[in-house]
Amino acid sequence: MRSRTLKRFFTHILRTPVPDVLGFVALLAALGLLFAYNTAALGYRWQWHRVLRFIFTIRDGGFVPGPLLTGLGVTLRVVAASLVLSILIALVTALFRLSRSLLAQTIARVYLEVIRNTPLIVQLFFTYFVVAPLVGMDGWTAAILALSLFEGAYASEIIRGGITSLPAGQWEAAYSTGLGRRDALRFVVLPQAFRRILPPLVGQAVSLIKDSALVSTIAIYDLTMSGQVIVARTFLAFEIWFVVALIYLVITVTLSASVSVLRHKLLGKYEYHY
Amino acid sequence: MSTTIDKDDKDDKDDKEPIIHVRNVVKTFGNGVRALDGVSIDIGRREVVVVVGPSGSGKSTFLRCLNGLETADSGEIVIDGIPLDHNRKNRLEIRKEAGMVFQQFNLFPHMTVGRNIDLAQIRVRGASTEEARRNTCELLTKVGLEDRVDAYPAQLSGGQQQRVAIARALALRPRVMLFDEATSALDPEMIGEVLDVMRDLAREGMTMVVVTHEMGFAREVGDRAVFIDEGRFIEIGPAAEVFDNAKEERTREFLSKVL
Amino acid sequence: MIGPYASHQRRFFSPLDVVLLALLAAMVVWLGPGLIRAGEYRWNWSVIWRYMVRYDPVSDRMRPNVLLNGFFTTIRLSIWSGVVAMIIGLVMGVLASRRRLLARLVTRTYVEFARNTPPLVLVFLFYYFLGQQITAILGLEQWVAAMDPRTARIVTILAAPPRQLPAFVSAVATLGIFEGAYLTEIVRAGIQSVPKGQWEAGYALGLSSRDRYRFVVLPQAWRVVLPAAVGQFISIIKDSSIVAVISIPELTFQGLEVMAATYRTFEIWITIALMYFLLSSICSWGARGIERRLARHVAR
Ligand SMILES: Nc1ncnc2c1ncn2[C@@H]1O[C@H](COP(=O)(O)OP(=O)(O)OP(=O)(O)O)[C@@H](O)[C@H]1O
Ligand SMILES: [Mg+2]
Repeated sequence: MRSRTLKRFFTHILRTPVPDVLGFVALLAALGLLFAYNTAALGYRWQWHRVLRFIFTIRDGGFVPGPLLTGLGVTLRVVAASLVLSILIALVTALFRLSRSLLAQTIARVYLEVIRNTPLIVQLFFTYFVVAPLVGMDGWTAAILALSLFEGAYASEIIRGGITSLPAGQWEAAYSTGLGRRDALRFVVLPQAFRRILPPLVGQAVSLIKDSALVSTIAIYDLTMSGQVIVARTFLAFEIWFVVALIYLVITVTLSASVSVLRHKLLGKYEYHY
Repeated sequence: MSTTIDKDDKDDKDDKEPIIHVRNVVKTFGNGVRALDGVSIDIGRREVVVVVGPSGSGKSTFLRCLNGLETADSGEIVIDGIPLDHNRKNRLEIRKEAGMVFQQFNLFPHMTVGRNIDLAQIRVRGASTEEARRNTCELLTKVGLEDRVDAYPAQLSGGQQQRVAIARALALRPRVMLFDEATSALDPEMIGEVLDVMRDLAREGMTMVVVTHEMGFAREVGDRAVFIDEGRFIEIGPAAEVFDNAKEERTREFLSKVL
Repeated sequence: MIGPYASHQRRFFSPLDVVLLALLAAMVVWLGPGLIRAGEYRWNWSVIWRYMVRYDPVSDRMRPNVLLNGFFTTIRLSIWSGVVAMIIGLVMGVLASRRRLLARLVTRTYVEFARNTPPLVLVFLFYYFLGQQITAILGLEQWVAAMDPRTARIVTILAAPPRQLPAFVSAVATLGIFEGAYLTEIVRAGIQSVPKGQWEAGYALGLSSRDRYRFVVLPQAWRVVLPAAVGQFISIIKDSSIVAVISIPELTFQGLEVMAATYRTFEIWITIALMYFLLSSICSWGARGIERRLARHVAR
């Protein structure tokens, strides 16, 4: 009698997520231990207590941001500026590609090919070392320009894809009910495209944040650069890089999570099979 | 393909005058497929013409040419006195004159049923929101869906969606309705409700071109039937005659397979 | 001006063209001084040529110099990283498509971690650690020390000169882990693109779970996976430039080196950009070919 209830209890537990979650936690712990053990075996001295002061300090009862937070501020400013500029570039490029003008299409195509077939880091160097001295730009402008041009190319493809991926039947129905091209675009195509575009566009913003770390290579003191400077001075390599990664993760994961919420909000009510 | 029609033709809009005039229309696709190989037909007012034929024979292409979704390579198409040519105004006019119902419904999924039907009235005919909505409700009553104005397409069954699509196509009070296999994407138990709506329309005197695989319905509602194969109209005649004793061997062969 | 019916009214000279031409003119004016300066700049392309190939008096032949060697290193680095990433992607992708929560937790964590952290930070984080671990585990150092010259030559051609091998291997591992996350998603999407009926048919036939993957699902998923994977390989080529920050002598790093040695900034970055462009374009051209062939297969 007792044993049967116990058995039922266990089979019930086995069907809940509990064993999986426990297994997952155990796996993470094992990985962490392995990592700690191996680094220690290599002679690495973990000194987590020295890390906090690089994030912030309390002096005279006041909050003083450390170099990591200052770097984060720079990262956020670069990202904000590039985000605005890249969306502008993306919109114009998408419209160019969808337009009837051969000239506009050619300009957009060449721009996209160049950006998509070279690494961002080379584009940054190119902007910083070649373009900037020619037109008299400072490092900041060069960084923001290069980042925006890079992300703008990918974002423009997202926008174009959102518009062209709409089933032809939607255009045809709009057309058959007598709507003109502009009305079809405005009332039928764009509202639907927008809902498809927004989630991947936020994803592209996550990429922008990640890619912004590369501006450290042209001497912008962003979060990554601050990390490099601290590591060079203190040799706290693992601690600092873990903290830096964590800061990036918090921001990007929050954004990514908001995407899935957004997707539900935007599509939930009329998930539709064309 | 652009045509001018004789002046007296245009003024004289009596019942005998065909409302749809198709002459030697050829349509070739980019891949070399000749979907329409010189078809001609005149369709009178209040006439219901059913188009039957095997898959890939050009039925959809024929309908799509009628309202300008496809541009024919040559030949002439005139709808209610308006030639379908490269003139933008004429094309728009024809789209208002001809409503179209698709196999896949093609409702706008981001708008409520009501908005789906309002849209063209407001944007094309310049109706006010209230005016449009009043008309919309009337149309929805006609198709038996007056209580679903605020539903989204995704919340409706296939049959209901198709009835909304018919109401939407009727919103601009077209003179001609084109149906492209309106029931082919529906579950069997929903086919009836859509056919009922179409039957009512025919009874009210709407000019209709109906592509369908529902042979019973075609024989019952059609005034004339067209059998099309490989882009050609093989046989045109009174529906009963075509269905019961077709002249052409190919028609008989096709009908014996589907009936 | 947008949409499938654009062809009804194609115009060769639209208002947009006028605006564009005006903008282009404005741009030329804005860039004018810079362009004039560029015109006055004493271009010296022979420097680039010298760093591309050098004369080797021993063999009396031209041999690739640092830039070209960097180019080859980039290719080798990308291929090996691609292989590692594909293996990770296959394993994790299949796991990610399972119903078991543990499998999904593990793969999601990996994917989200790798995709939401800047690759540059991942490189800093993993490079030293992985470098030391892998070297230790594979016994790379001893192997390199004991290597005979012929093996050394083969290793140099396939991967990197023996002395640089540990660094090369850990760069490959870092890139592989990072890109593996994207391939995981590609493989998962490919598996999930196979209609449910296919699983059920396999199940009804009595196939084991492994056989269902092997004979029914993966062969069909392949058609979705392959084009996307080739596209990801192009990303790997571009992303491999990041390891320049840890002194792997690939193309971007060599560019920085040559710039430090010669100060021919303009020529160098134009050349490096062109070399990447060439490599990447060739690959996307190949990718399109593959896609077209697969599409033909499916359309049949
Ligand atoms: N956009 C297109 N591009 C190329 N070929 C096309 C296109 N649309 C139709 N076709 C071809 O034209 C021919 C006629 O097609 P259509 O769709 O008119 O046939 P249908 O009679 O409506 O067939 P179904 O009963 O299957 O709907 C077919 O061979 C088809 O493959
Ligand atoms: Mg059809």
